[in-house]
Amino acid sequence: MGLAETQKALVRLYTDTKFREQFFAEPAVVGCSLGLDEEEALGLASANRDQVEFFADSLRRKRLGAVRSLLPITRKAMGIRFGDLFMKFSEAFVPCGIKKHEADAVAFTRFLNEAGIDWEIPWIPALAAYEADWLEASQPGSRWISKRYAWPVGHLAAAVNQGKELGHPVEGCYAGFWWRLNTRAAPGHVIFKIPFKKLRLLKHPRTTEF
Amino acid sequence: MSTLDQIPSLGAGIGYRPAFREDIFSRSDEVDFLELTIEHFLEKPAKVEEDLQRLMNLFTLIPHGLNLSLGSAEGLNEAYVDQVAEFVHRVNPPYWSEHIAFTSADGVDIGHLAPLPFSDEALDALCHNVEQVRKVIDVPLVLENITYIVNMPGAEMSEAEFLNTLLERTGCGLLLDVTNLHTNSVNHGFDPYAFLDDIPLERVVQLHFVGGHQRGKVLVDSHSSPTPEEVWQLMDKVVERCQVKGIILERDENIPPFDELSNELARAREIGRRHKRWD
Repeated sequence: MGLAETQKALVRLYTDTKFREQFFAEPAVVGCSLGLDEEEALGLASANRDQVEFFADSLRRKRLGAVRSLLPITRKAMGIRFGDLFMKFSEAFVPCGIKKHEADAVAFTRFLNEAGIDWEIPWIPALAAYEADWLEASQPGSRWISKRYAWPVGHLAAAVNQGKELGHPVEGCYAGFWWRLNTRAAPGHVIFKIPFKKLRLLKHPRTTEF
Repeated sequence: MSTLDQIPSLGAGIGYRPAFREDIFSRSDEVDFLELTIEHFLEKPAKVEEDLQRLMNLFTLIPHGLNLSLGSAEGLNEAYVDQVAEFVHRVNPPYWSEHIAFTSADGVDIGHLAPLPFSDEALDALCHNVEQVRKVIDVPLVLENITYIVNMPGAEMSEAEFLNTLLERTGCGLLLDVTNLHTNSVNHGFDPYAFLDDIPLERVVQLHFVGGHQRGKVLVDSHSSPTPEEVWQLMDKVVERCQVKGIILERDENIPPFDELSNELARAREIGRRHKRWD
């Protein structure tokens, strides 16, 4: 036991809201589950709780800043709710790896689609998924992607991005394709409406890979 | 003569960000050298690769790591070290830099620099990891002081003593972030000038500077505002006392028109000239 175990506890303290509450309530018990002896756990618990909370909050704000820049259209469409929902999402998810910000952005768009959020504007989850799919298509190893949407996300993304009138978007079945002839090329993209309703495999699909 | 003494004077440069990419290419004469965040160039699209090639043709480039987690007691991610090594060797810089911090443990990446306790065990972990990195990266390594919100329990020495021992044992240079020093001095109530008296100034190779913002009672190192006057004064004192090779502006948020950044570089460059650190 020692610094390695302490750092394991610290990363949980910094990134996991529930763990933080449990640890400061019962440091010896919770610390034991991470391999800390009682002295080490109590020593760690002597850290200033306000400082730990501030740092944990700073980490999530930093992630929010990165995800905002990766999902600018979704952010514009959601307004202040983007930050509020991200802070809620980030309590329970921690990305990792070189592409952690991209992973964070994609996971956040999944959260927007799957967390049972009550949406005043119903097409926002589809728009978020579309922007995340662009991120995926832009990765170096990506050659061919196909997705399906329940809203005219291409039109919506362009309108939101340019601040234009959205009109009255209608639910339907839309297919989006991205391709690259080689890994150095920018992705080509096309999105169009599928006229056959029978192809709608799901009632309210966020996106479906073909 | 040590390897640090052989590092050439570089002047005043900036941390490269895509947000001012066009200005960097069109106004390259206003920037003496560039610092590249290593993670921004790993596994990226072809366009980033092309930009890197153009940057290599125009500037001296200093790779700056964020995510090696040199302070991790569990050791380093060897695959990631290899990626960093490949990048550093490709850029072929006079030195490269990383932080005195840990960023991950047990598979969890916290996405930011977390402080270490100022203890012998943390020193051992850092020195061991620096030694491992040196086996694959034969370019001088310069270590940066970080800001810290949390006063880590378990300290056995002061931060200055910790730095002294670390740099003595590893032979690394110091990247003294004067904004971090100012920020810590404000948040933790100490005299930054007295701190300078206690650290090995002869090992300072490079400086970082920028402005942050106040959140409640805490000064946050957010790289989001113009450099405050207190930091300029501190920088002046450091450059007067150290054989600084280069100064880097680290602006990440609320990025202003490039004229404002260029003006800050000009002021930093002038400080170096006044103290005869470069022409």
